Amino acid sequence: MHTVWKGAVSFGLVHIPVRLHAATEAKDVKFRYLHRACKTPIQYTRTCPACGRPVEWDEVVRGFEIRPNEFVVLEEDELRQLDAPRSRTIDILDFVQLPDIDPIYFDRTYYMSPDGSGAKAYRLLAAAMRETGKIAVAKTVLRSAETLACVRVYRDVLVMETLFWPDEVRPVEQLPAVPAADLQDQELQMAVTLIQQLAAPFQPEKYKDERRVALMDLIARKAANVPAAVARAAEPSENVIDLMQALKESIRLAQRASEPTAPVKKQARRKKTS
Amino acid sequence: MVIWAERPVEVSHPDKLLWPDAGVRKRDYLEYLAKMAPFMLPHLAERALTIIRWPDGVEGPYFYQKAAPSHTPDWIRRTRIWSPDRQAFFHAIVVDSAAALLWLGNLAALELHVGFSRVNTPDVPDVVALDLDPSVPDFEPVREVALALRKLFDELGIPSLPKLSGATGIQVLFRTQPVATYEAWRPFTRMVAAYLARRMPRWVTLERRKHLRGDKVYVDAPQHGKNRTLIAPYSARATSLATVAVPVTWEELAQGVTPDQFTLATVPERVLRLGDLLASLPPVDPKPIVTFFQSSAVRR
Repeated sequence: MHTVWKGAVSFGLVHIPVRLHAATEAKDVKFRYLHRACKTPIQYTRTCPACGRPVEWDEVVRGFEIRPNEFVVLEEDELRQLDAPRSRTIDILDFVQLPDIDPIYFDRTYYMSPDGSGAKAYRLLAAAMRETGKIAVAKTVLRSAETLACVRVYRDVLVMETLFWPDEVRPVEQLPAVPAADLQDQELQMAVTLIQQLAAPFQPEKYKDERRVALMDLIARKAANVPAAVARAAEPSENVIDLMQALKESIRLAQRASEPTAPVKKQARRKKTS
Repeated sequence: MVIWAERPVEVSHPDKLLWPDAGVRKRDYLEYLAKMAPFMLPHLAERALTIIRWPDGVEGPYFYQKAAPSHTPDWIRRTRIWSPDRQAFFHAIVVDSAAALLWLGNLAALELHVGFSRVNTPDVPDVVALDLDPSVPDFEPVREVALALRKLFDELGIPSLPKLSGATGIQVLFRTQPVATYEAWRPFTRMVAAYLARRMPRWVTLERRKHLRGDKVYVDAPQHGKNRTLIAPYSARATSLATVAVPVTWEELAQGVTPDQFTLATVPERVLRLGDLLASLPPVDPKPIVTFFQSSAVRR
């Protein structure tokens, strides 16, 4: 797994060298935009409207807009100096209970792997946290931003969840008023029945992104240039018993043949020539 | 009365008798839907719905509705569908929540019918079903034909289940990966029907016209088609006993279960105990079957 950060978990006198790896990935289907006429990926150009010419990356700096069209320019060096003192450690501040942190705070998840000689200390911290049922609240610097995080144990592995800062969670008071209502016992009873009927252990495997599956299927079919299998109408005639026998044998053969996975491409080609 | 599901659902006349003989009021029907929602929703989700409504209960008049009624609230999901008959688009209801199910219950939509494919892939079924329709009240012939069909599907390596329609018939169905079109399946369903007719000439007919069927069981292969529907699993039926369309095991069918055993009163307890039998039915790979019918041997 690709390392996105190298540093150490630190609390008290303990210092555990770790690497961070992204624990989750969004599986969006990515499209590129093409010129319809010639199917070439289109290009975006950076241009400066004032100078009227294209601009290279080495000519670009960051600016913070303090008033419309008025910028404070920040050079890379200046930004890097801000990070320097704390960028290499995950500083544990407190140990709390997991349910104390509302899921609304969770942002991104990283797996931690022990780096260098840290394996023993890593195991020790994981075991102690599991023993106490506590998780750690920590601060660190990720991608040049100071980040609030928590460190917890997931399947024997230390993970770091980045958290939103409290002022990044919008107050519910900003919602349009939720009116109070008189609930009848009967209504409440029916609602409780519904919840109990729909109650189930959380099994993430059972939820599937059906649109993505359908989309990838469409792409695969277009790539193979086969529309969804279309059979020519066959008129099963008086020899239907023989035909059924032939079908049974054909299915049996196909099942035997498919045991070592048959390549998809080959099958598509066979369909076309038959 | 208001029922709080994923959102509040307004209920009118909760004490109206919908099944007078069985003593089922609207509030009892809604309670059935509330209890059964987790088992019904997977079979309704992503499918265009056809409803049959009995506003004054099963003894009163009824009407079919494929298009969402004009007063349908915004939160009910709809999907645009082309009607080849009317040469126009209409918006069908797609049930995606317990609240939608309860809203339909309040409309006295007593029967919910769905097709075999999902709205995103309307040409590609993920269920294949053969509808066995008896011509006389006796349940035994249709039971025999269903068991013969099971034997055939077993020999073909296709795991299947019988679903009692809740009226007089049985639907034998299996799940499939949604990769072959209705057209690709048609020679298969047609051949299965022809095979049964050939093997059980005394009990099976392929005659569409009712008055020519005699006392035989009609194996309705053409019912597996793009714009066709079957009663949804666990939907109620407008019968005097308030029966339910319910999947059963092959063993139960062989041991003599009958449709009147499965009613609004008995099915929730059964399903809570056994779970949804259809959920454990593994989908079939249609490739070997479809490929067979494309081969020259069949075309001859």
